[in-house]
Amino acid sequence: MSEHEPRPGWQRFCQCLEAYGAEPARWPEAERELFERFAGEPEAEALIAEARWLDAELDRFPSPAPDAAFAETILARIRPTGASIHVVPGRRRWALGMGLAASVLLGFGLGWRQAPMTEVPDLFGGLLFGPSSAESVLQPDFPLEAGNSLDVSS
Amino acid sequence: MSEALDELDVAAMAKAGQGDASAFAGLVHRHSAWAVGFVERLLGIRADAEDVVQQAFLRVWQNAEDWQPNAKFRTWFYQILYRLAVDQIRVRRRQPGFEELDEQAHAHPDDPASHWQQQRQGADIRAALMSLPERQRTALVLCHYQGLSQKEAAALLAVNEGALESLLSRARAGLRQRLTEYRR
Repeated sequence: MSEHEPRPGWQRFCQCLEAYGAEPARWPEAERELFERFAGEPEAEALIAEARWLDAELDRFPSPAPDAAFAETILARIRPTGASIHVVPGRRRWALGMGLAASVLLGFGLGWRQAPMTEVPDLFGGLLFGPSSAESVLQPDFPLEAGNSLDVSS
Repeated sequence: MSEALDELDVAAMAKAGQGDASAFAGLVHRHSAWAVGFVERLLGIRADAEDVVQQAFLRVWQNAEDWQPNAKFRTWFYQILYRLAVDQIRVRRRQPGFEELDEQAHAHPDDPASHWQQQRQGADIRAALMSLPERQRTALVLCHYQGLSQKEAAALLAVNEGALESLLSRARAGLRQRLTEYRR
């Protein structure tokens, strides 16, 4: 049994140390006083040292700020009119390109088999650049409701 | 974040809603660094984090016209980033080989020099953090790295502050155990 157990605040001091670590600035404001109250006592110092070790471990996962090119990549993708864009992560862009190319070839092949030769120009206009396919590509996939509620999981 | 910066964000969102790309650029420059840091520590992979942040900013741009300043921009942007990151985690879980990739990150070479190098570069803490359940990891990232208050972090995770504290305690205990295991 701890020698501190009967002392008011000791248990809460230990809980805060376990949850928030050894930096009192990360503790709930109302309980930072507990850190000052117990710091310096041998048993408390042992627990603080353990929490400080874990804080230091966490700090070994740095995340450097992105370079200027990162912001430029984002800005290059927006349109001045505010029109929506479908964003494709870089590593999967090639897959989308292959899919689109396959769709175009399939559409062309089907149209070639079904349409009389005299209708080839209309076939291109209707299948490849018709309004329905363009709308589907540019539809926003992330509608916002009033109050900025978001549901990206859907 | 200061109130002046919050007001700057509100003004920038209003202008971005009218198609002002330079106002939007200000948002990107002000919020990129912390956003990438947040998502990188949730996902563990820098390239994935940058993809998510890029998507999040583009969704901000797409929806700027409808944005209402009834919350701080930063809070709203956290929500977008978090949900996109969770989506990314779910996608990964469905991909075969993800666990193996994670295990590779945990693996310790027998060579002491390589092991030292891995430790020095933070690979072990990264792997330990990634091994935590997603909500525990998020709580820890929000409170330790991002410096959010308990109230803000709890709101983002849709829990009360007591539940947040429980997530944090379990996260730190799990992390301590894993780091100890890695170093045996």
